[in-house]
Amino acid sequence: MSQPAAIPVTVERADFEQIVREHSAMVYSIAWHYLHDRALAEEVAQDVFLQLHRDFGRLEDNGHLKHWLRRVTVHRAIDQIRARRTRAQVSLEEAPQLAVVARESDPFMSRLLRRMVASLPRQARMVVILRYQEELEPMEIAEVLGIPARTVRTRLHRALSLLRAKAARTQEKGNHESV
Amino acid sequence: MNQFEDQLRDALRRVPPPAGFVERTLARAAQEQRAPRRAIRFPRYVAALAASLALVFGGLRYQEYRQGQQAKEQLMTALRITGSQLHQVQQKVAPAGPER
Repeated sequence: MSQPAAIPVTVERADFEQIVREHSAMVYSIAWHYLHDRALAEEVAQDVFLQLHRDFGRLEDNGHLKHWLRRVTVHRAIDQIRARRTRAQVSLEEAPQLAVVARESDPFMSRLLRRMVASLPRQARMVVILRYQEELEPMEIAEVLGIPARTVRTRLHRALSLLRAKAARTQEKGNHESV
Repeated sequence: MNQFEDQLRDALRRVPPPAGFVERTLARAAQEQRAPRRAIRFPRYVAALAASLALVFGGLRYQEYRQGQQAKEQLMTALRITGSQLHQVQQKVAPAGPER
């Protein structure tokens, strides 16, 4: 397949601060939703931007930049989990959600869902984050993770089934307790 | 899009990084720029060990080479001696001529 002729619009170092400001929520959120550790998520996010700082010149345009940031964040977060084999060290209630809670339709349900996503197997967890946080299509997720799109669909399907079943059980339990 | 997926999307909304994140990141980048990371250098003991190993292996190879050379010289000498002895025997036998 022939590549379209790219006009290299090199990202300048002067733009670094602007890039960090613009993409910090995306980078930090992927790391935080995956790691559920505030300090680790910040460490990963900072490392991603520092790598970007070192790799200036290799990136061509803003679309490529966003894709690059997402891919590097995903892999660094996965590496972090592999290296530390960590589970949630900070409770979900402590997470920096204040700005978000006000916009949530059901804060209790959202907290519950985040907790359930955190309990998913590592690989399925990242697929769910990329699908519902980043709104990526299975093909795009496959590209970021370097796995076949069919595998992404399977993991997503299984993860959703698991989450639905867990949510139903929790709701049932809640109904029993309220009776 | 079903309700459950909407709820999931709502739960996994992007969150802002902690306050001061941008400043801390810029500070780290500036610090890294001031003091660029040093090139990877081997510790001295690794270099010394490598040099010692090279010497030992070099010495062993040289010894093997010398032994090979000596064996070759001995063989050549033996062949020369055998050759001259054969020549002497041939000279003693030749004057007698063939018997009728």
